Amino acid sequence: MPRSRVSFWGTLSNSLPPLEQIDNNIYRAVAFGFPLLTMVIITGAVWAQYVWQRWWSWDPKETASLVTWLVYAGYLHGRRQRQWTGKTSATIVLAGFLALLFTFAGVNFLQSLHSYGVARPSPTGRLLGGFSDVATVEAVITTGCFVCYLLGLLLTLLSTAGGKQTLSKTGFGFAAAGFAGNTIVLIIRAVQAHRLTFTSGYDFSLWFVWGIVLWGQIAYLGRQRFALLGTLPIALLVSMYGYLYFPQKGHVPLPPALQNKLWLHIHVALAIIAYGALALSAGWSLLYLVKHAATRPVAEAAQE
Amino acid sequence: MSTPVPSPADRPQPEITFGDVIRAGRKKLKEMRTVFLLLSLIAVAALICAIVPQNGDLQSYSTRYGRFIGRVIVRLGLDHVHMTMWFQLLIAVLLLSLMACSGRLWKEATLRWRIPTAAEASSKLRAGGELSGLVPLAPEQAISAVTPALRKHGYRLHHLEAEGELRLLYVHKRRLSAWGQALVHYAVFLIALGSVMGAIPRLSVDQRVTIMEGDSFRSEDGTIPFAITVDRFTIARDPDSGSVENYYSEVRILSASQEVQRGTISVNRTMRYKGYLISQSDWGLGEAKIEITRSGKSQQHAFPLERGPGIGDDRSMWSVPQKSSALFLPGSHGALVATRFCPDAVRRNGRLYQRSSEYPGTPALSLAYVSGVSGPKPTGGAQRPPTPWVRELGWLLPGEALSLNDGWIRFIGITKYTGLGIRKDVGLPLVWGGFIACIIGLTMIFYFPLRRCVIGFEPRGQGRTALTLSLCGHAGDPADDTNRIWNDMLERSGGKPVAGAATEPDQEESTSA
Repeated sequence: MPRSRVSFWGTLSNSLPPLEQIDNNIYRAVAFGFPLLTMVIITGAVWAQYVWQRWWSWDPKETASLVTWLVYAGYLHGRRQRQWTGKTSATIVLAGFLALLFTFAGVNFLQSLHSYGVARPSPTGRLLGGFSDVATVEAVITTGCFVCYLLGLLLTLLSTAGGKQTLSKTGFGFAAAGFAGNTIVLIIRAVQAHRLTFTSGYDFSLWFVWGIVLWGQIAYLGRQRFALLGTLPIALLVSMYGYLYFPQKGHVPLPPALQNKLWLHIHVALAIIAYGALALSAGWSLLYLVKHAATRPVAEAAQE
Repeated sequence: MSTPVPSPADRPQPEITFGDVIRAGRKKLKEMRTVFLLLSLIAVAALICAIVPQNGDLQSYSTRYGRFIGRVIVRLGLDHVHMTMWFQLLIAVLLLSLMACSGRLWKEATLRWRIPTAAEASSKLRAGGELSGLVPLAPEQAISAVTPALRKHGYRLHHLEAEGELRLLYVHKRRLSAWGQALVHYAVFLIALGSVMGAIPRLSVDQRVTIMEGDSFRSEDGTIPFAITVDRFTIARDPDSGSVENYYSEVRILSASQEVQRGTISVNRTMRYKGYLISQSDWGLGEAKIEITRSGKSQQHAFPLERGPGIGDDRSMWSVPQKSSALFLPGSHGALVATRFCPDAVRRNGRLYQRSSEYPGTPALSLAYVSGVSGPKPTGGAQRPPTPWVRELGWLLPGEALSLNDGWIRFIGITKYTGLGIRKDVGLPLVWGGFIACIIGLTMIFYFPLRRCVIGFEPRGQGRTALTLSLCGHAGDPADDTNRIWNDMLERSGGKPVAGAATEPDQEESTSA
């Protein structure tokens, strides 16, 4: 085995927390996100009863969220009743998160009652009169956020591989700057629309990323300094999806079914928090699998 | 003398009773493998539901997926998955499995709920305490010293009967959460039961009715014991964006021809009457109305409208059907037909332009006179009608009129209809109850989990006490704050930890599960 490879895997393996700790972190994140995910489905069902007279219509979004729920329920059952830990449970959690991404993004390719609306041109500078084009300001800040997240990820990765704490802190600083920018954009959009903007795919992507980075940062500040390494790739993936699939950045008028601000805010806000927590669990699962893969070459090298 | 050994075939077979079969079935239903298999099958069925558009016909599936796959979809019932026998059977087996599991979970919850006996607690400690320490105090003093630490962390203390010299303390917090798991399982059972009850046609009502403005609906078969009259239907638009904000139906509920309730229904605002939920479901354009005045006599006629290929083959546009009903004009051997309809038009310099293909707007109707078509067969040996010919009469906006030979035709306007959903779901209270129980149960399990442990105090001579703590948590739960509490306990009692003790929860309940 080449010496450089052993050294890289060895460093990575030593830098990441022990497998048992990562496994517990995965469980904690799922245990936090799963009840919220259940509440998302329940609030959606109650709302649907008032709007469509059916609390369950087997709509693709509902069905996909049920499948996601079943995957996580399976993981929790396995973990609590059969002590499922390790690679299998990390893989199940990742599968659950893929199902979640399908619920969020994949459903748009199917005919659904939950299809996102088509964005219209942004009402420029109506409230923030000092700017000639608020949409441009938003675009600049959002691009800055994307770059910050990317730099945050790179620095966290470098700090993990190189074992340098300073780089990790700088990486967190970039992620925090990106998060601040993300929050500013969401505030601007909320001020313009006179409500929290959830209804277009672009808006929800922004919120989804916000939730992921929020939980990544909370975990980082809670002495889990590798949380950002797990969650930032997901944040980047989702923001790229928002950019590429929903290029229009204007506000989408609420269709009649969504003209219920109470349920809209409860349902979607819960979804953002739940998705963020489950993204954190997926991030930890990724790190678990990386660490698991990393320990094998080290063991092989030791044998040689 | 040797006795012959019976061959396996000759051996008496134990008789399998009906009870054995039931017991074996119950055991199988309780197995985790069965539950996973059922959940996976339901997930696969749900995915099919998501991918294959539901409630289509053979033609639509053949067009979309090809003739063979279209037939397979219809034959296997994949066009209405959740209504198929096999899917209902899956749900029924899941219900049985949930019932079987819930019984077991109830027993487990009862075990967690009750305070253990001294014998149970000491056997637990003997099986291996997770944390051990040595305290420079006598057992009684040590208990007094650690009590504030445990109380500070919200634990309730139970002094168990001493086992010889061993003093036992059982501590717990959030005892109610012992029922969390059982509650979630009962909740899912309730939700599934409610959905099955809601799908039974004799118990529930699920109708969608379309009512024109000014018209009434009365159930012909008497399934809905009241009538609904729609006085007005309006569509509200956002003045800035022009997009539809909401649909409003002003309705009256009549029972035995007496008005019993009145109100406005809109999306997100339903009306309830005697357990029936009346809601805004959809809307549409019903008829285009005209008035014909001939020889001083006026009569009204309505041409039905439908969604279909309109101007520019826009299939979502409102239009007159291709085979529009004709208004036969007596004494003229001809009929009046509606040829085209535009939901939103404007007249400029005498010409009509389509403004948009959406309603609300200013509708326009195009009429034609068809000569030589036979109306209701004339009696008394009438003459054969002449060769047919068609004359376009032109477009009319509401209120506009055009002249006929002996009179004129005026386009009055259009009549809208509102689509109302009338639903009575007897399973709904169960579903709602299930939802609430599910949220409470999950909150108990994951946010306020039951914490309990047994602490043993054993004298070790010279005024010292060996402290042992054994967690009675769930195998899946990380140790969480146990180490913090343990350190606090040791700090208050001036003790020191004994190295080599594990900090993970035990396997007690997992193995029993």
